[in-house]
Amino acid sequence: MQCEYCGSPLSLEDEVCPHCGQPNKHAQKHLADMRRYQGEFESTKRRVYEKTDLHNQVLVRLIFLAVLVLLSTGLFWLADNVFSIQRSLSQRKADRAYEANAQLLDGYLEEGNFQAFDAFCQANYITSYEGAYAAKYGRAIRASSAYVQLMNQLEEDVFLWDASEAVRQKWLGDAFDYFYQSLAYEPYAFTQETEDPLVAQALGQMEVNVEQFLVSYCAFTPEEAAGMKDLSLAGRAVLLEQKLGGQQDER
Amino acid sequence: MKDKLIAKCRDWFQNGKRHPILFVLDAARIGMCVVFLVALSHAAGEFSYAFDQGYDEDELYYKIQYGDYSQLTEFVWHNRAQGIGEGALGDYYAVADYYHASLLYHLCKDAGNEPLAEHWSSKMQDAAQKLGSFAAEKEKIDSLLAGQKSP
Repeated sequence: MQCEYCGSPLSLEDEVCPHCGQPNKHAQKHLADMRRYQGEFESTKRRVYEKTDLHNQVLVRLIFLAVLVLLSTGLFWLADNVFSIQRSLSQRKADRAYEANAQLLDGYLEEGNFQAFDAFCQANYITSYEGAYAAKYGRAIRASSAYVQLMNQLEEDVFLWDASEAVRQKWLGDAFDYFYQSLAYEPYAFTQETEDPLVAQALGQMEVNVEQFLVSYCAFTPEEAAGMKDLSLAGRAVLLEQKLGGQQDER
Repeated sequence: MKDKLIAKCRDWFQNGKRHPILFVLDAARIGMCVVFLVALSHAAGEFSYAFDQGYDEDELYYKIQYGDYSQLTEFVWHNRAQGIGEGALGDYYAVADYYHASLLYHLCKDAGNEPLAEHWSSKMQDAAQKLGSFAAEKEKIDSLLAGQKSP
């Protein structure tokens, strides 16, 4: 292009003519346009960066939230199921060691250590209705739990507490009821429970122990002790009140 | 360091160019952090309760002090079933074993079951030798079991 004042050649970058010093209106307009375009470009670029930055920040926060939600849900689920998991692990461990455990349990039953038998079964979640142990030990598992409860109750009432208290006699009556019911259960068919002679002997021994305790420490006659099994709840309650209440008075 | 943190927090609150959704998400993050900590402590509590550590020395001592030998026996067999060996609790286990064996000895003897009575008598003697600092409990248990018998 040429200067409109002196006709010298000019470029678009020359704001004034280098020869006559007059302003180059085309260049000024061009430079103004270029500055405007630059400004718009920078502004657009800034908006794109801000939007991308916002999306990134939102995405990071959402990922963080999602991870926290998953972890929290997992922890709550774990807390709710920890007993099932622990029980399942214990049962599997007990099933794997069946041979050794069965020897131990047989030993407990033979010597009449029903406290140890019950504690072992409870600690390893050995139940009478599932697992490898149910078929042989089902009845013993049910009865030993009831036996231990009853004997603990009897020992505490006779040696420790005031057995004449009505509430303690009610508990004792319930414990007797639970014990005799557990002895009366038939073997479970669904676990293919068998009649094991050692288990049958153990159940007999439990009954003998309970009856002998009543005779030795509760002033029952042998006939009264043996008859407890056939009494009703009310009948047992009356007899227990007579014997234990009277014994407490003597003390 | 503290001043930098305070300045950063001030800028964070006062920065007018922050999109509202970021405030919402930040509040949600703080809330979820609290929920996560609650979940963590709840899970830790349930775990420690589920994986039973058995009865400790204080609990066993309390039972002996109170004369509640039947529960002591229950606690000791519970510990044994959990695999908690005698170790430092040997004396406590011996008291429970002595009581348990004595009771069964008396019951078997009174019922006329001599073989089993002898079995429990030898268990009594074994336990009596391990009573250690609780040697005095032997007499208490003997007088309890023999003395409480019905005439």
